[in-house]
Amino acid sequence: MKTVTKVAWLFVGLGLVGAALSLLVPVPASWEGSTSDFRGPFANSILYATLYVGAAVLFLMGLNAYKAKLRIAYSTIAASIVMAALGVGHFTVLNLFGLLDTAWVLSGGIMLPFLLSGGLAYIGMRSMARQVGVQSVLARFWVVLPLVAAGMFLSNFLPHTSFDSKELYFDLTNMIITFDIILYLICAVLALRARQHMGAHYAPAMAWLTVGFFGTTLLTLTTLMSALLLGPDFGNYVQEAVVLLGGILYLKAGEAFALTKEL
Amino acid sequence: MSFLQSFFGTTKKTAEMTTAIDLVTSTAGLASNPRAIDGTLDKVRAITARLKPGDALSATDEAGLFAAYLDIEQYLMTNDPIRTFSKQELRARINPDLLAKLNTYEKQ
Repeated sequence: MKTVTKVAWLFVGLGLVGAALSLLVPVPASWEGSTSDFRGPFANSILYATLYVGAAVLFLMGLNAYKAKLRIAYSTIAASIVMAALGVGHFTVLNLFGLLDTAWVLSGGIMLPFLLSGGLAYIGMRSMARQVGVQSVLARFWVVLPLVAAGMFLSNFLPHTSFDSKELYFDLTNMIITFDIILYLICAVLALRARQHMGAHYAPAMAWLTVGFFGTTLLTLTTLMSALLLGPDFGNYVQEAVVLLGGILYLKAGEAFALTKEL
Repeated sequence: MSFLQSFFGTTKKTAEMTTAIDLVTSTAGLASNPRAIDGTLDKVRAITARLKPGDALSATDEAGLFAAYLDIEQYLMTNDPIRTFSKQELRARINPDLLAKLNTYEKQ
């Protein structure tokens, strides 16, 4: 078995061990739901966070064969993946431990990793696509920025369930989720274009990167749909499953990229 | 678990390059921007288009393919936008007989 495959397995193992160990953490007194509603998402958050970090590590492992510009582009994509894990993971943990009333959350800081994740993913993917000669309007800031701004603005008009808390925070959250949906989708399209454009040696890595970005688009889309249908307390098992799937896909994308180092 | 076992680590074992056509097509697949070597690949296509199934390469065709390979190799070692390859790593999978022919052609 190749080293990068062993590393992928190592992170799957670490995630499973971490998820199992999380079952030993006592349910906090502040938790009002069922024990399984606490333990399931908590264990899953440890599992998927480990997978996302593993994916970032694998991306970085493949970099030493490449030139500086590509190293920067892929490091940026790896940072985006870590931010996505941090965003979803820390939201879950804060929610489970009754910390959603803290200054970090109330000031909007909780959404910062999500903003960074979408932004970094686009910057990294755009740079990579341009380096290999992909010609696409989606690699132009003057096309993408108005598109993202329009999408964020229009997200305010999406119909949603009624709820008691302030609509402003809800709308801001949905705008940031929409920001991520659009940018991840653009990244997926750029990765697909790179897959079609680059030589056969890079095809599996680009195909899995495309799948990873489509997976993350699906995750953020599910999050938006959950928010619109369920209101601000939108955590659910579908979302948990999709975020885990995203982690597995990114881990595979990381492994596929690290393998391009070898001829 | 068997799904995950086949999911991770499924990489095709890279085959040894035994013919001049293998040599050029496999090496061209390493280009991150194949458009940059399109001119060279056009020459390769012109040679392969003339071949009928089962036809052996003529000495002239083989020389044309070696010339194309050397162009692509040079591009990968100096101009590929994302990676710099070394001559040794590019030639590591070439069958010894084919490599000997390539070396002879290169010295001419």
